[in-house]
Amino acid sequence: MTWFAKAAAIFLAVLAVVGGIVWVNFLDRYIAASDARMQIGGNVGYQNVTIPAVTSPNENVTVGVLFFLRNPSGIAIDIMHISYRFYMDNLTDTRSFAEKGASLFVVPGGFFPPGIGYVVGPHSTVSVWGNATVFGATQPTQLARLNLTFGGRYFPIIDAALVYRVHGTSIVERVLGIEFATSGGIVPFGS
Amino acid sequence: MDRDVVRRVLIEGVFVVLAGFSMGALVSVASFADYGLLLSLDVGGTIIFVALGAGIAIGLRLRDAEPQYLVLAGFVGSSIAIIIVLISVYAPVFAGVVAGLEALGPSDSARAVIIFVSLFLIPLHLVGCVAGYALADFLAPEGVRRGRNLERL
Repeated sequence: MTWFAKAAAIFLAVLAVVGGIVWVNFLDRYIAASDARMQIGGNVGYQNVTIPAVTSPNENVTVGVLFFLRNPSGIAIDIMHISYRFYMDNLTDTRSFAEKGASLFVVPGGFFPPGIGYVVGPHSTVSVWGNATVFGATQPTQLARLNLTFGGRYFPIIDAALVYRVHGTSIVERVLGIEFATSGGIVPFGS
Repeated sequence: MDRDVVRRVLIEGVFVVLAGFSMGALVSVASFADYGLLLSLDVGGTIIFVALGAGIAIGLRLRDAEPQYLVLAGFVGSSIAIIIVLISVYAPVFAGVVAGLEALGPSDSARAVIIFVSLFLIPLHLVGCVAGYALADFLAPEGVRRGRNLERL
């Protein structure tokens, strides 16, 4: 065998080994990222909502919304942010939400982690708080809307959206329409 | 069939498969750079240099073969590469993670571009095979080259 035939053989072998290693790494990440993108939307929701009782017209009231996120895939994801719009339902207004929503809106809120985002490891579940504050002195209308109870209970409506990135990639996805509503109401926190 | 011929065909067949696999694997990795992989490659450069390099290597190895077998090896190698690219694009479907690639978002055109661009491996790899074949003849010792040896002036 000539020297260049040997050199060609070595070159092809090295190229195939390098190609095999990076290809297997690519397949692993591509399949895991696709799995994450398919499943995250069905694995995010609300764990708890806390609304303090309003005792004076000038106080600042902080609403707490606890989200959970389950990552069933084999690759980590970064929560870039969870943003929501907080409404307080008026049970005496029987219009549809689309018609009465503007009159029910209280405050926007969310979870906005610093840096690259909040990392959720593979096959793990996290809970994060996304708070929103109504400043009674400067937002009297919003405070009045918030302070609406029926039978001593609040009936909040929350519409949230999640934006996340598959960790280590430039794949960014958005999950819209993460909704919360209650038929039985929520007891004011601390009462 | 002569045992030596069969043995030679099998050995060179292995190298053709290695060439096809390495072309397909590296082009796939270059096409999906968004996924933060071990190697970050440029798609165009990868297609050109890997196809030519693998082709030249095949041409160097098939110096003794008839030209039609060289062309056959080139086609087989580049076909294997395109199959590897197709497997890579549809990997989530084969893994059972998604029912169809449409579920991952409206990027059918991007996937079609990846597959179309990989078709350029065929002519580039064939050019590399022919170039390697000619280079092997040039590098071979005198007396072993094909055709007439030019008389020294």
